[in-house]
Amino acid sequence: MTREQHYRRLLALYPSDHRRQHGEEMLGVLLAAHGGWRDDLDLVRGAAALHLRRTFNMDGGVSLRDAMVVVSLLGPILLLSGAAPDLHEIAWWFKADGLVAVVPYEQVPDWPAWAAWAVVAVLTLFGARRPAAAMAWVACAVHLTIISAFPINYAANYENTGLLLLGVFTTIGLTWSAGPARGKELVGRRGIWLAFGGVALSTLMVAMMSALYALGFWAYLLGPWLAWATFVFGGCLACRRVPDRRTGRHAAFVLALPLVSNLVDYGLFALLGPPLFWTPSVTTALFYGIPTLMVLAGLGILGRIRRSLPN
Amino acid sequence: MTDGALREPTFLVLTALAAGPQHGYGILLDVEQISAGRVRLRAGTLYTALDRLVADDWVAADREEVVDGRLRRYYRLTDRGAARLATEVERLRVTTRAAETRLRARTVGGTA
Repeated sequence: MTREQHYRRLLALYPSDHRRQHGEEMLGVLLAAHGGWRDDLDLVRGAAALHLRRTFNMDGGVSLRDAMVVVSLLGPILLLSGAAPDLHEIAWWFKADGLVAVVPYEQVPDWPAWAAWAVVAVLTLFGARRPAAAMAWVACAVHLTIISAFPINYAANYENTGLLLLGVFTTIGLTWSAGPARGKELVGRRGIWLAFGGVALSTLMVAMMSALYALGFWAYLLGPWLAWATFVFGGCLACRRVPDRRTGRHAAFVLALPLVSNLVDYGLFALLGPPLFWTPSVTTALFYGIPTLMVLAGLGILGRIRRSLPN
Repeated sequence: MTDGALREPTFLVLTALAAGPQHGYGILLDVEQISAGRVRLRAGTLYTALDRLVADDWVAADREEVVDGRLRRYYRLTDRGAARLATEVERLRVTTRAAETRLRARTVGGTA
């Protein structure tokens, strides 16, 4: 292998935009310099540093406005999958009691929140940004109230952390970004259909949850994860249609909050065990705070705040 | 954080560009010369620093040329970068002066 081929292989580790802009130039510098394993190590370290900078948007290369525009369009659609367990429950009651079934409210306490998000989704798709934003604030408040009011019956409180957080980021996007109309320009109709496809598949997974039990307890436990992963995957596919791939990836990260926050929660539980739940205020702060900080860091907002602070 | 101390590679790259635009390899050689051979930057470190400095608008691409079939891009210090370098030089001057004064006082005290 020639030196040039060797360096080209190492330069392939760099982010694609950096490679396009500086690849040939760096190759020239590397060939002119002395070379050796220290140069190789330095290249690997540089590639890792640049990937980190891009992941946390420290280079400011991601348009935050566009990322939030995509979230404001796809967020209300993906949040509809939060209604799937309720729909499944309601279907069960109708199946058991016939058409006159009365579903106890305690079984589906969060339905007002999902109803509100359904209204937001319709308003968003019709381009009514301001009414959608107003309704989104209502939906967040309703969801938060329900989570706080049903601490015992609402067993899935912590599992809903990500959905509530996604709701908040979606609402922020609807309120302060250019709005869903610009979002449609970025992801196109196909992007919207992909998001709906993810929600439909996720709903199907929830409906099939009891069938998973037949495969074994572990398959049953895996059910909710598959449901979350399915609608998040739909959102990610939709984000791949954003012309600027980095902006699309950052929007997808926000839309993946339900999955990310559950991973964080399970990770914390594995790390700390039952003491994690001894102080509810600390538990809540961790469950909501860590995913929020991850998104803020991912969007480069924490870096901007840090840079703007006086020395 | 905006006026915090610069890291040495950043300081040396800005210093190398203070005299005029230079290409990547030229910066590497100049940094070695400025630091009297103490610091030898490598391409990975240099281009990571340049990525950050260009994003912060302290350095900008000046011009490009092709030499022996290879692209050579020149970089220049922006006004913002020059101001930042001047601030750093002043910061270093103040601390250096304080260190000198105290060392002199120590020497005087020691001989007295």
